[in-house]
Amino acid sequence: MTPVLVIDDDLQIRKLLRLYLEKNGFTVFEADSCAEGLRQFTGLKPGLVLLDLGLPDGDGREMLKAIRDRGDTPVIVVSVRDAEADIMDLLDAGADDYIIKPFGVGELVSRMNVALRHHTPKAVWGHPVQVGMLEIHMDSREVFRAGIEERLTPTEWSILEILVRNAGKIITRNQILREVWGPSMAQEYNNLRVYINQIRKKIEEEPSVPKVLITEPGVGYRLKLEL
Amino acid sequence: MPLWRRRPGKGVKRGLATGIPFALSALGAVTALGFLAQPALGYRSISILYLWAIISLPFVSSRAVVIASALISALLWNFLFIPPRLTFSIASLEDILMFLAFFLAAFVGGFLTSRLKEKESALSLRERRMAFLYGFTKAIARVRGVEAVVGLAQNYLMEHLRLSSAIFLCDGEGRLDTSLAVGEAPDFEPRHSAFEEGLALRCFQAKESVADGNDRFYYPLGSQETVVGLLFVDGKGALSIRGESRELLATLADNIALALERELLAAENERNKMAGESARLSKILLNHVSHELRTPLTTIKGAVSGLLDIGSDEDPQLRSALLNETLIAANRLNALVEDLLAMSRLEAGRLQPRIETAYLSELLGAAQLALGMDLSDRTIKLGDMAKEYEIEADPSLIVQVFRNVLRNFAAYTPDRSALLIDVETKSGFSSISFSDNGPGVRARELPLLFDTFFRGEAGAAKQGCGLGLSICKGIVEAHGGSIEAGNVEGGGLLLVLHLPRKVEL
Repeated sequence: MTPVLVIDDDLQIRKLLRLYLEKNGFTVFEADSCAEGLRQFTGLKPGLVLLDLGLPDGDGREMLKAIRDRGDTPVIVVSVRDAEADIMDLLDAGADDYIIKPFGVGELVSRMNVALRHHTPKAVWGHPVQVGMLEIHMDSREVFRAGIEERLTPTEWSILEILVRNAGKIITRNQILREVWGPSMAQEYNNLRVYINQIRKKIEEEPSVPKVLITEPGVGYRLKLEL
Repeated sequence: MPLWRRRPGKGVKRGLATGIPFALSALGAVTALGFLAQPALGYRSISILYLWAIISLPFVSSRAVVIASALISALLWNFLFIPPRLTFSIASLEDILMFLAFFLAAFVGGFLTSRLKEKESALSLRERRMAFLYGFTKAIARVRGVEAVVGLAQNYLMEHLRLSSAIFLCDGEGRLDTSLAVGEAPDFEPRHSAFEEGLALRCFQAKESVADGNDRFYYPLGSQETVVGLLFVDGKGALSIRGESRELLATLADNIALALERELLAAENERNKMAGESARLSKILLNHVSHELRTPLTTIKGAVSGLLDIGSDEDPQLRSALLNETLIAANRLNALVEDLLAMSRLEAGRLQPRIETAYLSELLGAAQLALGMDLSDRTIKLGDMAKEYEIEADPSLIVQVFRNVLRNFAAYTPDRSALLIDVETKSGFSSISFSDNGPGVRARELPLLFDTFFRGEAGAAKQGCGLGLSICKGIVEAHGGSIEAGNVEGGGLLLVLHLPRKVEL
């Protein structure tokens, strides 16, 4: 029973989340403001936080910072559309994922599970990762599409590795750039874009309509693997 | 030629004394001529010579000089020519009568001609003023805009009358705003240090022109009922502004007032028209939106109350069908709200695209994914050019455009329709074309396709409230591009997006 702290000022949404999340094996705690959220967070030590950005008494970024100051509890940001820049900032500042309102509860739970799994690292090593016709062997650095091996360059492989390690979770462009090329390369989206395009040609069935390596426009990428 | 008479300089002498040298030399010449002609003509005829001189004098000399000359010539004639000569006495009665007649004739003749001359010059001054006023009226009738009217009036006053001026308008509450003259920069040092606010307000309240006695004038601009502003004219003490000159200024002020009232009215009409248009749009918006909201809400309410009624074990097939409808209705509501948000951001002009280079196919793929809509048996094909093509655009905004285009394709074409997406570079623009083999759009509906709330005849029966393509247009235009629609040969709709390519430095 993972304790989940839901910080949202809307009663009906909290009610719905409580119903569905408790049914899915979470213990739900509710807070309707930043202050209350922080108080509960300190007392309860929840396993995961759902943080709504439209809170009456504060800005999500400060709340996220306060949570990050107290440890690395996974945080999923809940927000309305049209805030790509804010979302990217929050993800770069340490949020684990984001979901757009209105969302389906099924999608939310699978995102929560991904976030929790990454929190308790489970090896993607030792056995191949498989989705559809695609098979990725992390140990031997091999990728097979429909049984045929695809050759990836070292850089392509580093990018794919980050995506596989974070499978199911959104990774911002800055996070990939920083990890692969170093902090000085942040904001150099162009290189990354070209590499992603190359990777898609090697792992997607139909590279122009990607089903595995998904673009989140203006934010980053997500590898849709169910591990 | 000046439109004013010059102000008499030091005192009155200069004006009254003009032409003395001419008068003196004329009298001298006639006297000399008299000495020469006397033996032949006799002393009486010399009076005629003097009369000629007197009558011709007013063309050069002032009236006082003419009258003085008349007096002097009478005395000269008497002293020099009438016997006994070199005395002021006159011997014969006949000569006395002659002398009196001459004196009268010179006096009256000089007086009359000088008056005639003055009248004539007054007339020509008036004529010039009429021509000036006519020119001004014509010019001010042609300019548009309050600032242009004020600029023209100030120009005319300065160029033709050497008068500096300022025009002040009323603020929103009908009070005179004397802090800032029209067309003057806010941080500008006030040029009119002679401007007295008290006099201006007095003029404004009394609706009458006010003068400060030092050739500075305040004219109310407007009719008796409504005064729209104030004209301040500064003669700087250099000009004589009285009588007809004041009338000229008053007429100018009236003309300026008419033009200003006309322009203010036009501006207000424009505002009213805009307000009317936006009221019309918001009415349509309310009608459309409430209808569009109600339909999915009806579905949701109906389905959910149905679900509550049937027991949890009964008819699992009906349950899942009802739930499915509920979800579709919710998605529809969400799409509508997103459209409305996008629309309001566009209308507010707050849309600032963050341009990045991106693969066209990547954004199209993201749009297809975000649409999350069943395309049924419809197919989407990418042209060869489009597969590796890069565009410069705000990724999330363009995904929204593509999503709307794809949504329309799915909504308005029959099953098994095909959409071909291709791209070409044309004169600095990426032209992305979407052509389908559906029924197309009637030619007369094409120009209306991007209008807010427009829905074609074919669309009237379908869901949607006519926002999708007008949002596309707004987003593309925010990128500095354009969007056009046409029909493909053999039927089917063609949409082309022109997005500017980044200028290579």
